[in-house]
Amino acid sequence: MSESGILQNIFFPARSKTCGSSPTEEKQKEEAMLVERVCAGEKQAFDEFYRKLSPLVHGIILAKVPRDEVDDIVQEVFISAFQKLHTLRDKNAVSPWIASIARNRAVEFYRRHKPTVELSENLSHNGNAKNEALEILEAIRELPETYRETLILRLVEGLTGPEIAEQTGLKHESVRVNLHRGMKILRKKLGIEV
Amino acid sequence: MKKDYLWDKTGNDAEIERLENALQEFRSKNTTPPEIPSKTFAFDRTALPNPNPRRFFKLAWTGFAAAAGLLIFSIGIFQVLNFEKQETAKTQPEQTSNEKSTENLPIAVEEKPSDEKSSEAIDETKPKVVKAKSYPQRNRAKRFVKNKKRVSVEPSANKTIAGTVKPVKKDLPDDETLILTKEEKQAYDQLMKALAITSSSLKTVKDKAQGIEE
Repeated sequence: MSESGILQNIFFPARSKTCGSSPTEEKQKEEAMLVERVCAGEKQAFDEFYRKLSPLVHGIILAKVPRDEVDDIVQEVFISAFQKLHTLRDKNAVSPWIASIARNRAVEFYRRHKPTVELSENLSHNGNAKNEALEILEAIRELPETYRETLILRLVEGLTGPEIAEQTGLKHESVRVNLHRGMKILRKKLGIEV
Repeated sequence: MKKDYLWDKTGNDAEIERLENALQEFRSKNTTPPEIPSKTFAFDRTALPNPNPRRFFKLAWTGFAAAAGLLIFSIGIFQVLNFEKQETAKTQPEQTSNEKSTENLPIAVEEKPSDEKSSEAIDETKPKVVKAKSYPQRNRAKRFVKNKKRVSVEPSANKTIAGTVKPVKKDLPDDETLILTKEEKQAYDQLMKALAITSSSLKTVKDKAQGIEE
C-alpha cells in the first residue's frame, strides 16, 4: 500500500474500504501500465490497447465521417496515437487523449475531401432492416454534435453511460443529460412515440 | 435504485433495445490492430521532448535578476559604509597639537642634530627620510579621506621633532598593508560574500544555459 493509502486508512477509515483506491482509479492505473508497455514496444500490449479503445474511436469517427471511410480513419488514428504516445504527459488520461485525436482526424478528413452525398448501399435488394438501420444512423448524425457522439457510442458501440464518461473524460451528469436529451430529439425525428 | 436502461442498461426499454439491435451492424468489428512496421516500435527513448524555450529564458532572467539585485545591494552597503567613514572623518576635531598630528599622518622629518640645522640650508626639494611609527588603526583611515591635509614641515633648531614638526602628507608605499577597523572588515567580508554569491549564481545560470543548448 502506498503512503497516501496508509494515511487515508488512518484519517479516513470509512473511505478506504478497498486498500484506498476506487475501481475507477484502479482502471486508470491499469491503463497507465498498458500505455507504459506500449511505449516500451510490446506488440501484445499494443493489440490490447487497440482492442480496448477501438469502440470509442470507431464511434467518434462514425458520428462524423461517411461509413466507407470509417475503418481507414480508425487505423490512421491508432497509428498516429502510437507515434505520439511518448508525448502523453498524463498516462491515466489516454482515452480522452485518443478521443481528441479521433475528432481532429475527422475534421481533417473534411478539410481534405469535398463533401459528397452518401448513397445508401444495396438499395435494390436489401431488406427493410438495413434501410431502417441507415435511416436511424442518418437521423442520429443529424443531431447536434454533443448528442450525436454520445448516442452513437451508446446505441451503436454498446457502451454504457459510465463507460462513455470515463473514456471521453466527460462528467457522468453531462453524459446522462446528453443521452436523454439526444434520445428525446431522436424519437421525434423517427416519429417514435414514448 | 431507479433503473435507467439508457444510462447503464438496467431495467428494460423495448424501444432502445430495438434501436440497438438495428444499429448493431455498424458496430466496430475490427479486432485486428493496424499493421505497424517493426521499426516503429524501436523509437528513441532518449529523445526528450523539446524543451520549452520560454521556461529556459524565464530561468535565465530570474537568475540574472537575482545576481544583479545582489550586486546592487552589496554596492549599496559598501557605499553606505564608505559614506559613514567619511562622516566620522569630517566630524573628528582637527588636531592642533603637534603630537596628535604626528601620530595621525606619516611624518617627513629631517633627523638631524639641532646644532647642525642652523648652519645648513634646508633644501625642501630633497626627499626626506621617513621612519614609520606604529600608527593607531583609527587614524590610518584618514588616508582615504578626500579632503587631504597638506601640512608643511617647519624644522626648528631647538625643539624636538615630535613637538614641532608638522607632518607632510606622503603616499604609502605599495608594499605596506592596510589595517582596517572592525566595522570596515565586516563590511569588506560582507561585500566579498555578496560578490561570491553573485558570481556563483551567474555561473549556475550559465551552466544551465549551456546544458539546455547542448
